[in-house]
Amino acid sequence: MTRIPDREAVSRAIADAEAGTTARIHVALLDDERLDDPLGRARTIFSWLDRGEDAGVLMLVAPRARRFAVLGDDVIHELAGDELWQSVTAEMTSHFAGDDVEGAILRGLDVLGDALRRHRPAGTLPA
Amino acid sequence: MSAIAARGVLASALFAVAIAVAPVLAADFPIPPVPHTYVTDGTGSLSSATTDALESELKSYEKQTGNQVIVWIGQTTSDVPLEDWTSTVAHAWGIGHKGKDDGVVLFVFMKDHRARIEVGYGLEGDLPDAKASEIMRNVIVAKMKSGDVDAAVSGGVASILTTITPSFASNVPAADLAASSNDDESSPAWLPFLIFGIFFGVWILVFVLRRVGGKGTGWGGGWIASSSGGSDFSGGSDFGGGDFSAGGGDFGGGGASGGW
Repeated sequence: MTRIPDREAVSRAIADAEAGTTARIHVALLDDERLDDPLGRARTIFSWLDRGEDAGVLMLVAPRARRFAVLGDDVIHELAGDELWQSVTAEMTSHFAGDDVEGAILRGLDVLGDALRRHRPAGTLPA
Repeated sequence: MSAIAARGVLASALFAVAIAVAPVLAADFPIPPVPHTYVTDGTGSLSSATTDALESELKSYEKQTGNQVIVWIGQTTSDVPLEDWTSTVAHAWGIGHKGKDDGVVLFVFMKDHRARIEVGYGLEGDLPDAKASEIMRNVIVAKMKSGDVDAAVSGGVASILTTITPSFASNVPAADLAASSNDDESSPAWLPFLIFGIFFGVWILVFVLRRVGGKGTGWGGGWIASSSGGSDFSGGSDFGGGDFSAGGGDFGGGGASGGW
């Protein structure tokens, strides 16, 4: 069966991805067996996150339901656009296909971190 | 037909107690109307399937055990502290039966991201604060954090019922419940033992499976990870860690609160 992603490893990867950008990243792992609307669920969780003053991204993964979603707020969406979400999900999908959930999350965070550093480097003023 | 009658009895019982208690009460915030149903969701957060399933489950639970467990979902307690609000309201409503105080209310406040299990004195022994806290933390808050209100509430209710009444088979399909309640009068004396036996067997089986399964099974309710300090979701070792506060017990017995 699919290995459960290690929370500590994911937290470290989040810290790496956030280095050099002011944006905040969160990862939610769900144990749902079915998830028909991952993006809708991501929106719900996103609305609960304390995002502080700067832009944020939420990556939602439900391994048992084999669904995931990556959601960013308006600020990041305006800067990075659809292109970012497409590239992150494409990278993640290839890992998911090999049942490598943790790998998918870590790779997705990597891609996100690179993009956020480009679009939202640390030191920029909040939009 | 009997369903309507049962609901009527519940409503009138609640009203009678409420009228008796209300004048004594000095709340400085408006008390919501006494619920007419076991599940009251003023926020539309629960799916109608879950509402219906819980409604019939809680009804059959009260029929079997005499304990009244209800669910009430609202948006906010405004500037009233959660525990003050819920204990005052639970008292004003007079949930449970007069003299026995055998009621439990699961309050959920969507806008506040807070919930509380309010336990009547009569059930404190069966549902002590520590156990209510556990249910709040491991079931309700965990599921709320993952955005699944239906699972949070129905999982919370199922845990409350089976904690108070270990022999209550909360997952029995509705058809089975109807069948067994139809011949309540003629139930053989050994039936409770059989039910207990089955429950006990399942419990042992679950226990054994858990031991055998070890670390690899289950997703442990999931988690939300962030690296940023200061957020509710950072750090901690499991879901609902940092922002959990155990119940007060200043009014009406006790319970547990949690936030997500």
